[in-house]
Amino acid sequence: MTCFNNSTVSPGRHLLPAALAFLCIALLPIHVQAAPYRPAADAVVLATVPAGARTATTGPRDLQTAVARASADIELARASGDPRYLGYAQSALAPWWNAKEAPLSVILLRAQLHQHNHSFAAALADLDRALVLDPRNAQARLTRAAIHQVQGNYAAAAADCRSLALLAEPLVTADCMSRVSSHRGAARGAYRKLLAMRDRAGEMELRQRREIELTLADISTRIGEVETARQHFDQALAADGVDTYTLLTFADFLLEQREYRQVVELFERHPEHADLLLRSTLASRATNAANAGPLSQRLREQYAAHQRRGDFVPSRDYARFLLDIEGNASAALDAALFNWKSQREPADALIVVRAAIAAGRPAAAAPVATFVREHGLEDVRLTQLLPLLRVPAPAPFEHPAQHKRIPSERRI
Amino acid sequence: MRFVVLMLLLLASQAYAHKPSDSYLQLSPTDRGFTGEWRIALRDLEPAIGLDRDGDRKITWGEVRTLHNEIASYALTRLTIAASGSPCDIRAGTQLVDNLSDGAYTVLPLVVTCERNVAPWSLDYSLLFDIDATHRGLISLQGPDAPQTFALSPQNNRAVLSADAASPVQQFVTMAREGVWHIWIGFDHILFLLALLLPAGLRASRALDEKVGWAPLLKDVLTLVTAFTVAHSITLSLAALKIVSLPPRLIETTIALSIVVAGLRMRYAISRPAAWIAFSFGLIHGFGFANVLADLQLPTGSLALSLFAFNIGVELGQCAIVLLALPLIRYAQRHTFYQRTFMPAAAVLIAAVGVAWSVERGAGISLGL
Repeated sequence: MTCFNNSTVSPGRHLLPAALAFLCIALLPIHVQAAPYRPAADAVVLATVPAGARTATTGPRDLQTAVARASADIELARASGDPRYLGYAQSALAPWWNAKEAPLSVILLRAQLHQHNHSFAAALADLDRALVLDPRNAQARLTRAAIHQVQGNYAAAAADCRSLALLAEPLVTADCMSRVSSHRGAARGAYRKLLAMRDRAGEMELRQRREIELTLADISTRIGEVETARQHFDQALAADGVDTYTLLTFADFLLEQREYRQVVELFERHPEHADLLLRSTLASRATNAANAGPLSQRLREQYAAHQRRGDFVPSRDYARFLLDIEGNASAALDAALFNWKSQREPADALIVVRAAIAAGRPAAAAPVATFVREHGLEDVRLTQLLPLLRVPAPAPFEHPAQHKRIPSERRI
Repeated sequence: MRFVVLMLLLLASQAYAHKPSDSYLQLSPTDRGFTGEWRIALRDLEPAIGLDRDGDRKITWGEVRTLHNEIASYALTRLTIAASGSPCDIRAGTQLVDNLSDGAYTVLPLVVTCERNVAPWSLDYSLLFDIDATHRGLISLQGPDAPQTFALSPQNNRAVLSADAASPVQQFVTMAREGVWHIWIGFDHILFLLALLLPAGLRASRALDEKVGWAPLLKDVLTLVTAFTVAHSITLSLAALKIVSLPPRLIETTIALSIVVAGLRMRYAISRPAAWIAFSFGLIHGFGFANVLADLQLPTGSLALSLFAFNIGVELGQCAIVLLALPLIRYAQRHTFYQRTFMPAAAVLIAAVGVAWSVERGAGISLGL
């Protein structure tokens, strides 16, 4: 482009190279993008709105309205899986969002929002503050126990669960405690205790029912009792309306049991839950369905769009996407390890181990193996894979009889 | 004691494969401002305006279409673009629909018109920030190279678009204009050129009243202008690309000296070919132009283009001067007076100015010239 061909006879002849140059530039392809279109008819449905969605008004900023609005938004976010509602909730709490000395009701909601955004440190800070303001606040304790558990601080989680005994129903406390101790080498005992409590309790609120069933399903899955787990899942789904967490946990279970058709059906019944797209794509790929390619592409575009925002945080699901769909084990391992820094559930451990094995870097999963061993974390899927890292599986707390029902081959 | 939220439901930390809300604003520079497209999710407009007028929880094209004015006005009151501080006018055309990875978006075609369309442009964005704290405005500005992109948030809601944003054509025209301007105001360059032009075609050996045709004149002019042009183009490029660098004072003083030399030649050495003087001093004049170029706000992305355009501008400006002067010179040369009286006087004057400038520039003092 630097055609300094000025060694011509007269000044005027410069114009030809100039014209050529600027023609070249003008014809450079500009950024090409998807073509917008005009829908064929007025009746074409372009989007749907979930039930209960409100017209957000930036109305009066009094505490009560704001808190009520924010709570409803968080609920809607959970039910629909659309994080927009978390943004609305945060906006509703805008006058208090950065205030250290916010009212208790705001702090509790703020902690939940932080937790959903994976800002666990901020969430814990808020919860600690909430418990200073109101030491008998069971909600705060429960939330804090949940965060500690997700982060793998089982001792702290257990302490918070125990302190619920005087503050909450026995069933709530039992659920909390069972969850935690099932991660610390006492899975079967925890299962039995919770089951007994559930049967003794008889009637309970539907949401609580779903909660208990999901806990029992999770423990059953991890100790390898597949049929029992399935029954608990069925109960959970029957108990209450659909929510994102239940759907995706169930979808993961179905994937492990290779019930691919059911996974696809689940997604077709609930297409608005974006998390199911990953599971459905995995199921489609496993059955070599025709739409596996388009689904993968959709998923790819969603992640790409998210990354354009500039605040994308690699998650467990993203690591699974990289490993099982893109086949990029090395990137999957990086994402899984990044996720492991803030989350330590069994599924988080599992993706690290799988990615490390696939990437040929078993040593990278050493911290995970250490964690599993130290806590006596029971999970048949992990137990199968850990020997491949050449690290001893958790032995101390195991009863030999526990492994008699492990299926010979289980792939995700 | 019962709780609205039980433990497990709090563990939905893996959920939300959907990303939070974004809008996409693409802009392309034009002569008068910008054209662009603004994509806003229908799901976002629902709480803001209430698209679902019949309450059936479905947003249809009919609903979107009939609410066009409200959508456009809602969006445009939350977007401000200004050029060098003065606000630009933004108009929205008929909307269309685009299906992105997370749902249907309305596409608003935009035309932005700025009175004084000069850098820097600022863009202030506040769509949905009062409703959704996690909303981001993703701005993409097409440029000659890679687009400039911005992700605007409630904490950071202003984008400043630099000169790099201008289209190649715009840049070319701007820089060419600069080139023309700088040779017209460059009296030292003009004087040097004139000093070589005035005696063009004349030969000391000729009889003073002999008629001369255009041919010698044109031949001389072409030769010396070409030599000058080639020389200054070379050094302009070398200096602008920072390949060669000379102290400005040395350059300016030498330029002044070149005028002295040209003046003296006019007086005493008229038969010497002008081309060599034109070429050798042209090299120095090129460095002079480069100094000027350095002061302009050049888009870093396309320095070569700007350089080329500037050079074209200089040639065009030079061309204009030569074309203006030529007929006058030709006319004047036919008179004896010209060669006998005018030229020597002019030579002395030019040389004197040259000396004065040399002293000024060399010694760094000002003689008010």
